[in-house]
Amino acid sequence: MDFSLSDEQRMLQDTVGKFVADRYSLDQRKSYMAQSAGHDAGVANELADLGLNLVQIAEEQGGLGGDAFDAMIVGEALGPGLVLEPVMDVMTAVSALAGGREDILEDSNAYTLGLYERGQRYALTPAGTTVADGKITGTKTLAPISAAATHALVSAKDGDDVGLYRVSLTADGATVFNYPLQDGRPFADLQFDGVAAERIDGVGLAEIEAAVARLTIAECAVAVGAMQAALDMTKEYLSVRKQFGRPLAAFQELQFRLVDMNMEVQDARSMSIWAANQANQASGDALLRSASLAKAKIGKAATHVCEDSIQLHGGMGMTQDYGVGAYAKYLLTFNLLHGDVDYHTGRVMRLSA
Amino acid sequence: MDLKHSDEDLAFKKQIEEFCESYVSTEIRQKIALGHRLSKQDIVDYHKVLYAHGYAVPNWKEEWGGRDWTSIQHQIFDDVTAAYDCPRRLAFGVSMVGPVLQAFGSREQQEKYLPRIARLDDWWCQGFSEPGSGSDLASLKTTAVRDGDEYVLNGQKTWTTYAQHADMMFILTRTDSDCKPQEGISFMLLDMNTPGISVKPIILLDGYHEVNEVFFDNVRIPAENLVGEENKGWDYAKFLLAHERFGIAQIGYAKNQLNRLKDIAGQERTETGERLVDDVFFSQKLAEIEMDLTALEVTNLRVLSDAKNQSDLTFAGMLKIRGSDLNQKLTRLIMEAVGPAAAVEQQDLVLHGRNEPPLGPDYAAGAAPSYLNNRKLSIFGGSNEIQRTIIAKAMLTA
Repeated sequence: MDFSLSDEQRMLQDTVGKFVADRYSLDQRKSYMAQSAGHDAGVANELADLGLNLVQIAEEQGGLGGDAFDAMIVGEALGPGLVLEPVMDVMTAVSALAGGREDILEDSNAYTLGLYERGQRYALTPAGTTVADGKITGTKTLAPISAAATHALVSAKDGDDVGLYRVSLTADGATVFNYPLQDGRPFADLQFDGVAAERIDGVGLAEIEAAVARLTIAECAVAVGAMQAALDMTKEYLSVRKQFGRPLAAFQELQFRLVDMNMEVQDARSMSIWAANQANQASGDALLRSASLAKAKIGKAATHVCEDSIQLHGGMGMTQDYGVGAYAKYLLTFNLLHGDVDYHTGRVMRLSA
Repeated sequence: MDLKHSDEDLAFKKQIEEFCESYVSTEIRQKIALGHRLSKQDIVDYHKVLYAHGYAVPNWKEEWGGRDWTSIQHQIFDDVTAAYDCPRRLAFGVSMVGPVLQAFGSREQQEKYLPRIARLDDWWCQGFSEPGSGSDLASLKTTAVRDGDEYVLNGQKTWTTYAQHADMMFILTRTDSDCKPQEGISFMLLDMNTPGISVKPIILLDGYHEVNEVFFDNVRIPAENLVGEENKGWDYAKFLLAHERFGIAQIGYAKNQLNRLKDIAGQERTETGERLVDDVFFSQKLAEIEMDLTALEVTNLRVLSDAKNQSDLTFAGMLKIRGSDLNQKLTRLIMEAVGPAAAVEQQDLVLHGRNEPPLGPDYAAGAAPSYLNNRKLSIFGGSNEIQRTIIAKAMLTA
């Protein structure tokens, strides 16, 4: 058993860490959010140049041939930056759902995912999006979108047959409604009214569920990175802020709260490592169940860290400009995407081990 | 022992219900129901309606328009208005500086300010916290130096709620530094239009401009605006905070939030198509929060019914801690019940009442902002950690 990183993995971690340190301070991030696309296209290009989209693509297809551990390393390193681009979505889910098509893999940055519908909560079975005669109609919600997105991979029903379709976002009948999430990330609703849709061979509901499970596991790693950053910030604040003539860090009640936060983060990191290992080995229900165990456990930790990092910062934690709030908002949003704690706890109970 | 309301109280309840139904603007009630923010005008309009019906300052002495209600009747008023999605009364004038002036102010101050507070002719804000003095309020540093018939004020306040709307501020100043910190503080009344005051917004996590920094650069306060005696301000502040702490349990608000939560959970359906309210996890959480709320409501009534309990610091702190926990839990559960639609930020709608159709159900947009905003409940007015310290001291030194 060996938890250490290989030389390649350490290089990957350093590369992403350096990008976040140089390009994604919380102040820089704020200036990107203020732009019309909700992020900075130049920074997005720099991020794309790191080649992270290729991490999980096989070497014979021009990728790096990495596995879920590599995705985890990238995710945790991106976490402190609260990166606005849908890196993990493209790296894990678009790669997995491309059905091996090189035209999609080569241009994966141009793809968003239309997998959810309004009023259907976390269900992945399409309810109101249908395909007839090669044309798709319906509305998808919570699609992670960047300025580079020109196409979507969209789940839809043709009769009772669930499939995944490649759809242009610029075609007649396609409308994109942009909005930010609570944490500022640019997302969109995608509306299709009889738009030409090309089916991706070999991808059905089971493949979609598996891809989202892999994405969920990768997002858990991002959350671990964000939680660690919130914890570090809180530790620093307790050391610097003084009340009653001594640093807050001298108050035992607050020391214990910090220790509890640290235990949550370490538990979450362990869970993230375990889940990445499962993603490398498991498939079918075992993969879904593993993703659920991880997301439920890390989701609970995220709420704890979100709330206590605000509380231990006092009034400063309540402000939009002080950084810890950005982590808190990311962590609450993390819990509202791809299934909350109850959803995943239920799936753990339903699927046999 | 009899936990029933008296006939008199039941009649009182009916009277407040009729008031809410007939006289409070439905637009304001709708905003509250959806977790959207009120404008300054909304708050003023609501207060004027309260005033017209004699409900603006029921906690005051009758001489100044008070109503001689029992504690239970005050609670009934809060419960009923909350149940009808009415706003909470703006506290700074009515619940804070008003009672202080009645207890410690001069006759001139009372006659000058109290009627204007009752009508909300003046909007008051609270100048207590400073950047270095939050939980440790007594360490405040804003100085007021006597110069003839005036004091000259220099320093900074922070977390000043609605200072951007305020005409007046009641402010704690340092008038003596050569003594215990608590013994050199004075309580003063400051006209916000005085030269030398600047107000800088602090935007909260939910995007709302609710609090401010306020800076004082050689601001001159007439000496007649000192309340009570110089250097006795800490006593008046403690009197005021004791009043603030009781309202903070917010039982009526919690009950209304629970009803809203049940309503949303009745409309939302899980992935399997069952109503969220029937989901085994969610219904358990609803049951648990109902237990917590029931216990807290009765604790609150026990405090209200007995003057001895009212002066017991262990009860005051408990109401603050339990009330803030409960209301925070409720807004978290509402956000969970709304689910992924709550992840979408719709600040224009929540903060500014934009007239576009919301994305998702109408209850979605306000859910996360309310959750974020309610994090303040365990921080302000003496953080829950400070409350526990006070309770421990009261229990262990009694």
